[in-house]
Amino acid sequence: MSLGLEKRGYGIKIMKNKVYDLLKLGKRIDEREPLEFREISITTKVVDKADGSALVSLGKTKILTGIKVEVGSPFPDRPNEGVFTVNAELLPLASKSFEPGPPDERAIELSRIVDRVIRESKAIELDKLSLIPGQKVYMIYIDCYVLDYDGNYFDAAVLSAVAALATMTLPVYRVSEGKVELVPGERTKLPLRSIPVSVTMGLIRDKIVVDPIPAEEEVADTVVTIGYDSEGVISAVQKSSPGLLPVGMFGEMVKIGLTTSEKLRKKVLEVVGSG
Amino acid sequence: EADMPVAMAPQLNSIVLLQLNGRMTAEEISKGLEMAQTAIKRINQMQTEALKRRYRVEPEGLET
Repeated sequence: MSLGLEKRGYGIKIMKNKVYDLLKLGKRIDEREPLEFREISITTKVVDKADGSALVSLGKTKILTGIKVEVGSPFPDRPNEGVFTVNAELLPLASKSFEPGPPDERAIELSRIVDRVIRESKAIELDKLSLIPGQKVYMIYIDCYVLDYDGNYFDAAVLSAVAALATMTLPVYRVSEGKVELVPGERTKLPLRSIPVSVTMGLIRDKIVVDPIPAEEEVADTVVTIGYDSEGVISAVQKSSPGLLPVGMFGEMVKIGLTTSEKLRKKVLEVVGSG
Repeated sequence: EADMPVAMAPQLNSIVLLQLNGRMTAEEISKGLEMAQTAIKRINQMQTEALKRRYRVEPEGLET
């Protein structure tokens, strides 16, 4: 074992004690309240050539989501539904620990979380995206790019994907003689029935913090992301890091997350409007 | 409708893996976790018994 690893171990222990001591006083190292999110800014329609896009800053974490639409074949077991897929990438410029290449475990995990939060909340009305049932449906490609990493790319990615979906437009197609034809110049909104959001929380001994920064993520016992739909029903849970999660603490997280999710949803609606 | 894989370290009463695919209310999650805990404790008991059966060594008679 190299000296470097040992040093790092002590470094983490010292940092953890510092973070925890502050939390006992109700403070965090960046002076936020334990249940306070960093400043969020959401800008939509930032990529002209994409059908939808949104750039989200959560503190210094930045995520850009772009959405492209094509026409394709539905899944055989869901012939009347449109299809969407999520692909997230951790761009090398965003962090020393992101390398170029095919998506690693963390990128795949991020893709899955964003996908589940949106899919299980049934936010996209997929049954309205069929053109010729069983043959041609809208295919929605949601691509999330982590541009700058300063903790919690989970919630930032969900916010940006949802904001992009809420402000995107679909090309319009006319079906004639069994063929699908593009109607040039016409666009329509994506049928979206709700605004799902996620809340990521870190557990440091017996303290829960919301929207962790890297220093907190590193010392946390574990980090959990919970997705909530507009009715407050949980649409995704992911314990995304190793470590022990006492059952009682998870229950607390579900409650804390619910209250915080309502604030996040409000923020998204402010930007995208309810229409 | 949902499925929620749960892994625990039962003696530490802690969850080590948790993922929810689907939709569940907070009450349903709570109930699901309770059921998982009961099942996990039972499985843990069976594991311990199986290990004991396999590695049990009859103590030899004491020599005086």
